[in-house]
Amino acid sequence: MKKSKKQTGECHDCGEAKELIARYVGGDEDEELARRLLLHAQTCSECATLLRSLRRLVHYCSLEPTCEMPVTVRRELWVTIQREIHTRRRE
Amino acid sequence: MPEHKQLAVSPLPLPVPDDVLVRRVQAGNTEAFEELVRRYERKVYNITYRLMGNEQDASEALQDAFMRAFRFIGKFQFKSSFFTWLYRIATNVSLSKLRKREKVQTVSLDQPVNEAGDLPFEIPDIKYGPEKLMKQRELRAALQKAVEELPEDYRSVVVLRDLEGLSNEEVSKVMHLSVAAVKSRLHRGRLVLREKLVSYL
Ligand SMILES: [Zn+2]
Repeated sequence: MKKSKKQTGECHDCGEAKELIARYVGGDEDEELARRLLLHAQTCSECATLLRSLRRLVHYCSLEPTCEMPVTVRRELWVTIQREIHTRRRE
Repeated sequence: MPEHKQLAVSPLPLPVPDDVLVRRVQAGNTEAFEELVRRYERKVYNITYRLMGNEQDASEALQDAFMRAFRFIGKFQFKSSFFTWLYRIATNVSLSKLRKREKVQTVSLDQPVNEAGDLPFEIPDIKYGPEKLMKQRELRAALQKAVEELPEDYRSVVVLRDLEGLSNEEVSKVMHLSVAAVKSRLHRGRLVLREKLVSYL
């Protein structure tokens, strides 16, 4: 199992930062955490990039519109439901 | 009891809570079940679609999920909200169908990712220009594809949390996981997505 190490290679004191990033992006509201993270990100471009891209990712996901349910899908669903209900009533 | 403001005009009747509808179904009222279906069909379709990745499979999973819900609603014990129970059924049905499907489709690593890297990160606004709309579309397609390729454990958590907007707590109820486990899977899933979508981020 050879795996490229290049992602973790450049950063020295990033273990903690990576942990903080996980918590921060995961929704932990904590000013102290955010402050320490920002401080680190100012000196470490790798963590800064990671942080930025994760936040964008989460943001993009949140913008994803609801997919429309196609009319045919809905029709099939209701045929199934009606059939199921009908069967139940006859039991 | 929350206090409701006095309205001069008569307010619309409040929607019947899910739990009340469930009790009616349990007592044999099938119309109440139809109401629950109307309430959640779109949401459930979204979950099955995100997990399955195509309309046909999503449609089957959707039907299965509601059929099972109907058959087993008698056993529902109100320990969770109805929707987390329903979402759990939908998630399980989808995942078991996925396992059967045994994704053989190979992943094309050189799928077109045009203009790599220069997607601007302003809050994307779909209302603006056709070019932006194109990129938006590209991103959405890439996102859906990347989500489909996520390992199962991560995928359901990412779909429910990031795409369907449930809270960590709600996801933990749907998935029967601890909140800590949800967070950890979520983070690992996001890291995988990030690698795949790096040119858009
Ligand atoms: Zn760092």
